[in-house]
Amino acid sequence: MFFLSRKLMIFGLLSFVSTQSIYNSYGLGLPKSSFFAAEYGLGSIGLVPNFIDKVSISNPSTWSNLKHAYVNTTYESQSFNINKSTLSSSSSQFGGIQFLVPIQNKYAVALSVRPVNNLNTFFKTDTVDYFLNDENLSTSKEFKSGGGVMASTFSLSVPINGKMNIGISYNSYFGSSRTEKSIILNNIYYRSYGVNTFKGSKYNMYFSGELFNSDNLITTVYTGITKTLTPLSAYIYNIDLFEDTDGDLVPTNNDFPQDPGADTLRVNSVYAPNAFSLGLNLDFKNSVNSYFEFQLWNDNSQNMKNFSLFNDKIVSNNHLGIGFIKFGNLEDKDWQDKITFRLGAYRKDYKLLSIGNNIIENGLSAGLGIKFGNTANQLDLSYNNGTRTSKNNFNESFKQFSVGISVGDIWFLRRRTKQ
Amino acid sequence: MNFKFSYLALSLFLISCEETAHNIQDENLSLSIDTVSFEIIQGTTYQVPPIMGGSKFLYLGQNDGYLFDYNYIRVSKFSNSQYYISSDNIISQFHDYNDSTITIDSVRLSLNFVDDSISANSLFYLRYFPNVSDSVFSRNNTNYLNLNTNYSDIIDYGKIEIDTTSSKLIFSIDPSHFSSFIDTSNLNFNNVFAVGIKNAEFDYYKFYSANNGQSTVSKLSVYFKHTVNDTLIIDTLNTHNIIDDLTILTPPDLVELDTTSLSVSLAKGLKSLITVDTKLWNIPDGSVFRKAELIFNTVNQDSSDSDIINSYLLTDLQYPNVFTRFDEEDFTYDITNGSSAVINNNALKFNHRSALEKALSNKKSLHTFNIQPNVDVDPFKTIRFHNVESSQFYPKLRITYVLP
Repeated sequence: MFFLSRKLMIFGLLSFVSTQSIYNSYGLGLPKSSFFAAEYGLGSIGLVPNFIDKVSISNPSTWSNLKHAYVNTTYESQSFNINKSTLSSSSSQFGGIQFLVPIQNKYAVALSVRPVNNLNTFFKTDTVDYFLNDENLSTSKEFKSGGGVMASTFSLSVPINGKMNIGISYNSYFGSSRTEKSIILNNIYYRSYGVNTFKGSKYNMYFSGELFNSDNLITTVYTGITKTLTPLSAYIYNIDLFEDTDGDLVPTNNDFPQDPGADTLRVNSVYAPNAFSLGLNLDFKNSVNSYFEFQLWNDNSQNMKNFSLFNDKIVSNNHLGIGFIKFGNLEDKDWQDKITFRLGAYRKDYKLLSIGNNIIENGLSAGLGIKFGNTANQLDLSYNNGTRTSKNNFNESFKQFSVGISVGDIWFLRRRTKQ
Repeated sequence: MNFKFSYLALSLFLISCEETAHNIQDENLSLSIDTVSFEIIQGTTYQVPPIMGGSKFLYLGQNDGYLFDYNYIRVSKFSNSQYYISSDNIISQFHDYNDSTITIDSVRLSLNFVDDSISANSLFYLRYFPNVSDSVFSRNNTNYLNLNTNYSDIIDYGKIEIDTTSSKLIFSIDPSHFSSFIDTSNLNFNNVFAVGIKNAEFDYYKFYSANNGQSTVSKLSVYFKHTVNDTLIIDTLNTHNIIDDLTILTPPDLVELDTTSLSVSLAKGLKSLITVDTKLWNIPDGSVFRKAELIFNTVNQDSSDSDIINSYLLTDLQYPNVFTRFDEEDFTYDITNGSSAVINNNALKFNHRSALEKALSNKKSLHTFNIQPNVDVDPFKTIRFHNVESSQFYPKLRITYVLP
């Protein structure tokens, strides 16, 4: 018990605790389909080119068009309002980091770490005063969850011929989450904790192929398949309710009971995402591109054990997105021609397991990519604005501002022979 | 590659912000509070020989039917300060007085009256226990039925000394009696005196007990001479504090109300028992007790009453169901999970969640608690609570718990 309490404390200190979508309280939260500022700016799921011309950071089948190695990272800041509340809740957190190296303009490899599910949320109820058993009672509730599932990914890009490429990536899931439920009675917290650790894997396969090439237009198709290799399993640690008399967050000798009940449970197959994605990019050969993306995503896990604050989970998601992008070129003279402009719109249709009531997410996005330095460094800025609506559930609006930094370098250059 | 970027990336990874909470309606959220009440199925008062071990005062004489027979007092074998004879020879413990250079002149025992002006017609006397090797009395067990009467004849009659601020009862002890205290063959001598009274048909006298603190503690003073050499003799004294004391009292006859209500009294030795049946109820899995209140209502409606009462879960199987007098109480208390409560607005509420959590986890349904006054309650006050027969103020157990 003491060991578990220490683990909880350490976890509490290290984990990301930030308020996010209220829908992160369902199951493993909202599955992320975008990870970098360049993708956010276009409202893309990362299938079609969004970073530089003909290249998507998240699609290995496009990496043969890279001329530089990159370290990419993104930091996100979000603001949420639920049910038209005047109060907004905001948060910020790390979005992902990637080390991407093209090899001889044909191949490319990449390593990345990024959060794929997000359980960060924090909500509370109003305080209610009433008289119970000869006592004035003031009561409210607080619910917090944090952490989520991370993926460390190895990706490889391989050409088929001059017009077609494939990419494959292996994702190893890891990470942990926690939930904390509290009811506050006359300023005394009655808390329960849950800590979950995750492990699993999946792979993604990508294909990109040039369908049509004329003087004015190149049409390219992109597909992606996500398949779970090892469904996510979890160790679930639960600490029963205790009265946190001394307010130090963990059960101690000053609390009641001093040693609350605790369970440890291993659960298999709690998350097994499979997806099919299709994208179409129209390159008008004047740096302007238009895209269309579609994704069918399903969680085929068998075990519906809950880790979250609400007793439900998201089991499927359909994504539809369109947008325009004008890629900048560092070698152009005018400053505006050096900047990448992105504009997009998308719609996601999440389905919850038990409510039978979909969550519709509509979003608009815009972004800039500013190149600097001799090695094609890039600063990406994006802004997203959208809503999530549900017939019998929460309605929330959100705004997201993302900053991405991509630092370029040249690796694996063929060196000149000495004269 | 620019390594500064690594630091930036690490900073971004570690930095996160905790922000304000969403505010939502409490509709179908988990966590709730619930209450369940159980009536007391049986309640009775019982009497044990009164034990005044925690009292801040000692009593001699008689009053309101109470007979204060004796005060037993134990003197510390260590003096309050040490007298140095040489670097490796000091006078502190009783047996240290056996040094060849020490001659005991006199020994005085002084007890401090509570009242600063005493005019007594009564006669106080002193005995000790030269033939008892053990501790003579225990503040937790010794009473008028089991007291040790293997004391000596009277060794002195006390004198009352009154000064401007206090009154003392002084006994002079002949050094020949004090030899039992300094006997090197019995280093664990009991060091106990018994103080009694004669001619006190209508009076009682109140002294400060060692429980009242150092400022009023009674003392034994040992006056002695130290012969340093042929030409130098030092007259001095050591004082030894009283470290333990107990009034032995015989309780008065009880009145009917003492036995029909749930009564508690230190000086009468009254305690009460109640039994509650929780039947098949148990706290739901994962829940936590907020309160397990054992609730009593006083018979006397005195809102100023704020006495402290203690309560313990008893772990025996058989209890009396009518008033019973015991010569010795042998119930087994769950001491570690006891509860204390203050009478407030004529109600007394113990939180017995620790004891009940343990009992319910052992699948018990019948739970018997006793109630008894705290040691600092006026020992001569009888506090009465309504019993199970009361139609409105009957005692009950009310459990409030939080569900996951």
